[in-house]
Amino acid sequence: MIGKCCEGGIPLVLLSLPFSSPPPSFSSSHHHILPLPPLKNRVEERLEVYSQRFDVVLLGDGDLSYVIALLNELVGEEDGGSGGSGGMGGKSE
Amino acid sequence: MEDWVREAHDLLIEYGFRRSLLSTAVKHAHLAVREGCQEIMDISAQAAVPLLVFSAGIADVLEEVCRQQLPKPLPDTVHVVSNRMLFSSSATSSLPSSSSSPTNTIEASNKDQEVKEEGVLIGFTDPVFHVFNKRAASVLETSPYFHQDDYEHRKNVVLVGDSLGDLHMSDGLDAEEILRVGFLNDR
Repeated sequence: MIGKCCEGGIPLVLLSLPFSSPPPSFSSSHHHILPLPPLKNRVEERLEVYSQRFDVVLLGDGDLSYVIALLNELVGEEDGGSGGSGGMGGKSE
Repeated sequence: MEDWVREAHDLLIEYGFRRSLLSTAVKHAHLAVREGCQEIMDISAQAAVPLLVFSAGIADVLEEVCRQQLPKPLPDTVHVVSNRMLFSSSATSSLPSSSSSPTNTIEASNKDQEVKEEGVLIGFTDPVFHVFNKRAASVLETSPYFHQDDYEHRKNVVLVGDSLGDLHMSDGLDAEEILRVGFLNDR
């Protein structure tokens, strides 16, 4: 479909946060408009996939309190002589 | 994706980005660290737990954000894996000394003009990080960070990310257990 869309020139790609239709300023001179779904604001849709891939999913742009509690628990266990190997934290921007 | 990132880097070079602009640019960029970030840094430092921060952005920017918004400097246990800027070090040098080779350098035709001043962006370190390769495997062999203390023998990972691509950050680590925590942001 994309290849067909590109026939006759470089396509116009619209990528944005939610909009259901192209802005009114776009006229019919744009022959090929490839509607892309909004990347965000699909929490419910993405929740299923996130739930399958992540062990814990945190909603609502919250703080790091869950992770802090988790780390404290893990570090506490280690300090308590459980003999487990150390943890390695990873954080994404 | 790598080409896209390289082109974005080239634009910064082409327009003569300077180290001195970094602080002001970050200050006006409306960036914010998630609440609790300092506490995690503290836990990392106090318990000697290595904390890797992966970013497909720019390490210098990320570190400047932390410098401006966190009350303490990043502890030694924190390691930022991201694209790092290379700045001119003097009027005569073409590239600052670095173990990593620059990937994006300004063209020779305008280098003389651009590099006369100290602190002008002249390139970025290799490899180029983007959303599809920001993973431990990309730097495991080359970064001395992974080869200090007992870091190589760590077997348990807590991975925190906000995109499905972040799930691959631990790729390359010899981990036995990985606990994956995902932020599903709604904006």
